[in-house]
Amino acid sequence: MKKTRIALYMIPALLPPIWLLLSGQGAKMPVMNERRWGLLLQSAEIAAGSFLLCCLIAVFAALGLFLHFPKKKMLRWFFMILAPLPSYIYALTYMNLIRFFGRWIPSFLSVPMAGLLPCILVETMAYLPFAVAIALISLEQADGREWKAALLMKDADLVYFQIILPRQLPYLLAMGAVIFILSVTDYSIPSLFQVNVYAMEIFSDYSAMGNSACSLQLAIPMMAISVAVLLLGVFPLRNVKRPMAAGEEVHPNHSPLMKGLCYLGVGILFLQILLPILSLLPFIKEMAAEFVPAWEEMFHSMVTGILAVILLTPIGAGMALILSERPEKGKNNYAVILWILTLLPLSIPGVLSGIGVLKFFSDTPLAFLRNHLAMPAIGMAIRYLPFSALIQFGCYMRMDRDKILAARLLESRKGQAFFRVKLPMMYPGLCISAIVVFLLTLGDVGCALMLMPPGKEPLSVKIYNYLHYGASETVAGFCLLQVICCLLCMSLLYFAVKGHGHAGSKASDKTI
Amino acid sequence: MLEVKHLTKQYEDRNAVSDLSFSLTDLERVSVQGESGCGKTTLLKMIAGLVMPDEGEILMDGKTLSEDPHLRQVSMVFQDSLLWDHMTIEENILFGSPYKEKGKRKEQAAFLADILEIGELLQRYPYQVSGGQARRAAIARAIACEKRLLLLDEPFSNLDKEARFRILEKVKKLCEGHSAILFVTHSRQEAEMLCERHLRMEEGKLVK
Repeated sequence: MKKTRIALYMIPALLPPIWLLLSGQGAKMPVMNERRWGLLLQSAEIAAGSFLLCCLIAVFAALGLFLHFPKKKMLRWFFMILAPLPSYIYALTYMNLIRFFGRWIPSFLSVPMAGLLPCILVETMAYLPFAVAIALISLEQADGREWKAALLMKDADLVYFQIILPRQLPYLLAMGAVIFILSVTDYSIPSLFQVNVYAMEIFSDYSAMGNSACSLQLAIPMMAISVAVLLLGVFPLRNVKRPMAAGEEVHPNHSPLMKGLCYLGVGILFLQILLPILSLLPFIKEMAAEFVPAWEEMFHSMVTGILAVILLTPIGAGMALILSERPEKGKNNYAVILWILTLLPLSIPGVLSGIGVLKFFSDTPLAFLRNHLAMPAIGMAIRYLPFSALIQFGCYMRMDRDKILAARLLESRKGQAFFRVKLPMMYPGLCISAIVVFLLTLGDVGCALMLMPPGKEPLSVKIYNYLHYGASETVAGFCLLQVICCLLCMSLLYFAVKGHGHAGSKASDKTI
Repeated sequence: MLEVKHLTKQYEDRNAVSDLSFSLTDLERVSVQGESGCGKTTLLKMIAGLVMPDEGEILMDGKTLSEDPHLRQVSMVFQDSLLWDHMTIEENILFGSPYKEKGKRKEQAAFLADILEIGELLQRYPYQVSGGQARRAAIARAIACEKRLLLLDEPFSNLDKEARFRILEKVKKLCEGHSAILFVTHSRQEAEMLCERHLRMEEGKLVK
């Protein structure tokens, strides 16, 4: 059963590179010239910059939220509301803001509209909610009693940096590695800021040559960097104790400087939500006019997203449950290998996933699906499978395994423990994964661009094209549509998950 | 009824249970006492099928117990109440009930809840009751399964002294003629009140 679940995950997740590898034997190796090495370095610079900036802001913002926001309220997670927003909307926000402030303060117009800096800033804003979420979760795992004991001996700032931050570090590194990989494999933001990156080179090479095996070989240096970062980032997680909800209130009295940094971090989180909305509001008048021609694209995006979610959520759940189980005695190394294999597909750039799926569909009897929305749906399901598994893993780590064991012992019929106890406990994880992945597919460009059937363009590709060539009002109208969709979905998620916080988490053991 | 033969379980670098053997006759009530960490809970979990032994075997009526816990004819009250928070107290109690008819099930829940003094809490959720009340609900849930062996892992620890002995007496009466009991406790007094035979564990082994 376990092996079947692992196979169900691994086969689709690793299908694109494996298929390209199998079908491309004998293909000519692409040349890694100086320009390509330069592009690779540039990609790594952007990814490293986004990773460092995200970590820095996330550490202080999470501490600010942890200490100053009500613990049991979902309000503390307000910053996730626009988390799945496509990153190109942040790019548009950046451009709009410079234009807007430039009207009043001309010196603003000298702020760069192209280059590495805006690229790093925009990617940081796009990935920040995920970074803060992980930093906050890692703080919630901290043992309150240990924290309090340390506070008796040293001042709050030192205690944080010497006791608490080192405990958060494995989580922060793992999250940083994921951000690095997402950034290094993305070309949509760099291309909007006229920065050429390695992922774009793969796309261009495939567009020009049409040789999928060559694209895979071209992607190998980038995937090698990604895998190295992944290993370095995820390996320290091995030594982390199994998380328990600490549940103890801590009230450290930090220095004014530290408090200021925390408030600044939380302030940036507010801006991360407010700026995209505010920057698009002036275009609201045009929205009605521009909304109509986007109906069809919106429909394509929705169908693709829903199909992808239906396909990937159960497979992701199966893998997440395996990952969240305590490794059996003497099987620690097996658990680490499983972790690495699960995360490995993250290092595959979206464009390569797209090429791999395209090649697979062309070479097999499944070619008839090429003119159907099922094709991008399957592609996106493959692309976002690791995300779904990771999101669900995060949720299932908080499940109280003993309650499931108790149900297995006390059930009167086979299956009762699963359907009446385990599934309700998994429900929030399933909802969060489904909605977040749905929104990610809605904003996806890399995979969609490769796999969209003729005449079935999704909204994300339309926006991406308009961002390059269209009028800003039109783009803003479409983007506002995406923001509204994101807000609606996240509100839906709030109501779906609300009230299920008690279903089996460790923290819920506390009775009145 | 129950035979435990040469049971061994090792965690990391220490033996939680080491070559442990004993038996239990039908409807017998036996206590297991010992210091914290001497392997009492591990022993119960192995009998329940929640932890697999490294060596040894557990037999019921001469047959090896099924690997599937719910087929083992064993129910258990855990050290933590482990109530399912998305179910009401009544739903928790009736989870493992062998009865299918709704009226009979309701009757069983009400009967057990009344005896264990949580009759008015049946429609509440676990997070809406106190630790002691949750513990009584967990006891009712285990008894409602009507299995042949009831494992009790320090089930009275959240109760005050007076309630502890009262509930203990009630558990004894409820199980009389139905189930054998294997009772893990630190309290000699509790053990003597509930059980007719006493075992003592030290560092994973039974001692006389």
